[in-house]
Amino acid sequence: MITYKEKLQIVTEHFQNGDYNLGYRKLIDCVLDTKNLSIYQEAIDLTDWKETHVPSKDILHQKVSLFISKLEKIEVESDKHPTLLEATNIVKKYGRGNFQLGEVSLKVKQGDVWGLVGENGNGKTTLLRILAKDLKYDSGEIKYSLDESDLSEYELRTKLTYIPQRTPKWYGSLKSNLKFAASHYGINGEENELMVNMMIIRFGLWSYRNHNWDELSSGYKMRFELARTFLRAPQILLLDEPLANLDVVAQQVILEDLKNLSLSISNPIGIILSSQQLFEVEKVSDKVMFLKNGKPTKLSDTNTEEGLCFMELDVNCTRDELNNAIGHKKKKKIDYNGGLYLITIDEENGFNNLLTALIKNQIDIKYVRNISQSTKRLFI
Amino acid sequence: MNIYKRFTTYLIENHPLTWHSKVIQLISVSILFSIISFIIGYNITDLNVLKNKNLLSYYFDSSFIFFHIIFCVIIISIWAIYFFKNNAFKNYYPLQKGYFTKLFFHIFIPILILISAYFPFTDGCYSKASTYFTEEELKSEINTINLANVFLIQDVDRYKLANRIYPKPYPIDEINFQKNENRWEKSSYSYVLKNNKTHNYTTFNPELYEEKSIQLNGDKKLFVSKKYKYIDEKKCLGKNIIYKVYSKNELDNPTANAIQNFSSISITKKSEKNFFRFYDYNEGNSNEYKSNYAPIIHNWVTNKKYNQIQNSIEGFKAICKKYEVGCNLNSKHILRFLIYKEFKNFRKPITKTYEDNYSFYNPQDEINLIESMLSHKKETIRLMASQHVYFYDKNELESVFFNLKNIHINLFSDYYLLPFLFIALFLTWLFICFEFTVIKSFLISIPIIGVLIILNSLTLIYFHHFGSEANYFLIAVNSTTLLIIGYTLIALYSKKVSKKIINVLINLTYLFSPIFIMLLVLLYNAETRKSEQINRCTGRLENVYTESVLMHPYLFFLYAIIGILLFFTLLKKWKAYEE
Repeated sequence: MITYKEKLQIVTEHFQNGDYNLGYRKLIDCVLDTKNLSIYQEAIDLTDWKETHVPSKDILHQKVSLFISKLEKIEVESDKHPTLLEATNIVKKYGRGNFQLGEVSLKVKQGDVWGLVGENGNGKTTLLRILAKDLKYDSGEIKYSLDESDLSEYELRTKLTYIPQRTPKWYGSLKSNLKFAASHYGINGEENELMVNMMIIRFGLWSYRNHNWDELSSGYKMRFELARTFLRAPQILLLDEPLANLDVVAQQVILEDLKNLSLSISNPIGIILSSQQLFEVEKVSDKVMFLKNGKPTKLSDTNTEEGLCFMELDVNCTRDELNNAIGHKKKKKIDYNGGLYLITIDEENGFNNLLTALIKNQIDIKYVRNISQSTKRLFI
Repeated sequence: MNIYKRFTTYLIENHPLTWHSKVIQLISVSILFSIISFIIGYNITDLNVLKNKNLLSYYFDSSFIFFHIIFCVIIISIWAIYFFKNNAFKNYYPLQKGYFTKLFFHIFIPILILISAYFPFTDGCYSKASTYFTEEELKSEINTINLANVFLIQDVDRYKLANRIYPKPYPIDEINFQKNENRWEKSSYSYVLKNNKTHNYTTFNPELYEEKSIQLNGDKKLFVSKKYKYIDEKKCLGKNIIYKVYSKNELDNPTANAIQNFSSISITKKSEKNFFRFYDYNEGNSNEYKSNYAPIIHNWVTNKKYNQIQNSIEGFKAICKKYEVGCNLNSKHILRFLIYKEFKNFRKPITKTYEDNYSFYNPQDEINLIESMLSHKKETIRLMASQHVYFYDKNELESVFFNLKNIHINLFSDYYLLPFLFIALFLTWLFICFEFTVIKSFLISIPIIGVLIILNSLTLIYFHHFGSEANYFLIAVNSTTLLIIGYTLIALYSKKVSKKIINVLINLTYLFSPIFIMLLVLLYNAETRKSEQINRCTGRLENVYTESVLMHPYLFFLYAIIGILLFFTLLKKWKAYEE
């Protein structure tokens, strides 16, 4: 697990490398780790100054460096990382049709990011809703090990933050909604203002804080949901298709944010998210569960020989030209789904050799990816 | 604006429920409107209103009620727009203890204040009315009216002798003396004589007292002290018990001093039990009048204190003038009538009872008007209108003093608040419903309620058809209600019922929540009461009716609140119920 000091070091490196936006978001994560209201206020002032004055990068770097040096003097203790949720052999049957989810077992610890992938109608949302105690299940067991014991059913629901794919409309300004949520979670008085502003900054909503629902794009609506969720200091966060309707950049930002927030020093959380954006999810997830016909499937479950390499390819040539370029010895199998080629080769020939062969034959490569270790193979 | 923004920021940061319910803003507006209502009530009240309206119900007669309704609709609509913007419960936020109970009162109290503008409005009316006099002045004016009243003729159709002020001893009553032997023997004859020795009653035969009879205005009369008493209350049989028959010697010159009083307006003085309680002095029922005013009047007439009489009539005229009540009296003429019995000089009176315009300056107009209204009294009215008449507007004067006296008694009946409480309760109940309900299941529950009502009504019709006296309807309604509530509880705790069904059940339970305790109480009362008959003669309860104390109207309001508050305890469990 990364330490507070290491996180600060990473922030410094981002600024040194000119990754200001990413660096600033991670800086705010470090500020949140301090749980120090005066530091919060300084971060808010800094953000306000940054947004108002649009300073040159050097000046911003200078100010941020000063701020980092101040943060370095603060001691932040990391929490333990116990198991938050343990689901064992969960089964859910639907009366109509023959669909059955499970048996599914999973264990979520603080700091874990679980990715749930699978085609539509394979039980991702069902599983998330079961874990969020929104849906009954037929058999199995779910244990929640949250901070407080003896929670009533409603209180447990307040702790299990579930963001559905289609978030409900809200009314009033973005900030008032966040303040209302924070206030209900016991963040009162001055702390309320600071925490809300911190979340607004953290999720890049500073310029939109007084906007209402109709004035926000889908991406910002999702950011709002995340800001609201994190104000609730969640221990488990369940997200259903958070990347749907987001542009590529927004998807990456959201996923990166989720990963960073799960690694919070002061409040590490367990995250389970479902998505169709396979590669992006795999990139940030510690564990990925592929659901096929309601059942979790591993790569080892596929009926393929061992020692094979799988390559996804989009090229600007004919199939014959591709065949010739790869050569008959290396190729095991070429499949074409109308958009992409899936090439299966012996592992000893390897991805790099295949790529070299394509370049040598001057094949115009538009897209290539090694999916040998990706659950993408399970979609095929 | 900055102050308001800071205030709302403080609320949202520290008191989210208060911020959400907008209770402070709504109460402020409601109080402001109450003040405005008071001011409006104060300003629109004038002598004309006092003369023609009952201030206690003036709110409902005035256009202010429309203004109030429109204002309430606007304010509640604006409030609802803001109220429904946020919802902690639907977002699964942690809720403070008693969240819904607090929310209930946060909505109920301001709405109650807002819709109850009747009270400040009426209070404003009375405050304005009280500027017309001091309490001492009112007492004095009532005194003047009561003393002068006996000397005034005011109504052509009410030439009765019932209100005659007789000479002392007070109080005293008269019996027409008629020779009719058969009559005394009839059991229906209502006069009995009490035998002081045996305490038994014997038939009263006036003929035995002929020597005590007195010739008055062409009739023979007996003067007695009597009291009406119910002998058989069940059969509503009562008798006038004669305690004493007075001889002429025991009376203080009845012939000379009998003064006719055709009034029905006499106003009671302050008394210990009934401070300024209004009642019509009519048919000689007012012992207070007989005891307090009759001796004074008798003293004036007996001792020929005509100045006092004239002063009292002039005082009366001054009061009419003060309150701009139509009045056309000539005290000298009236005195002449009293002293010399100059009936010829005393023309027939008229009151506003028969027409709305009492300005007789153009007799022909008046004749035309009255003729068109009262063709059957044409000749009388023609005579009245063509002569100088004496009258005062009894209705207006009564209205003025009814309103003025009400200032000094408890203005509002104990039950005046009740309809406002129930309206506020209904509105609160409705708004809270949308705070938690799922609209779809709410809409489904409406036809279900309709079906239940039809089924229960059919039960009523069925048992009524067979002439059953049992409370089957109440039993049916109670059973339906308890079944739904019971099934909801079982479903919630068993966790085996579909969430969709639970959603409908919870809506049904909410719909029944305000009435289920009421229904139980009604059933309990219907099953336990013995009798509720009131003797129409005596006004007393017979068979000692034992209606439960639980039947008090304000308790019904309490039952509704308790039912709703009990329902709230189910909400968290329902919300956490898994689909």
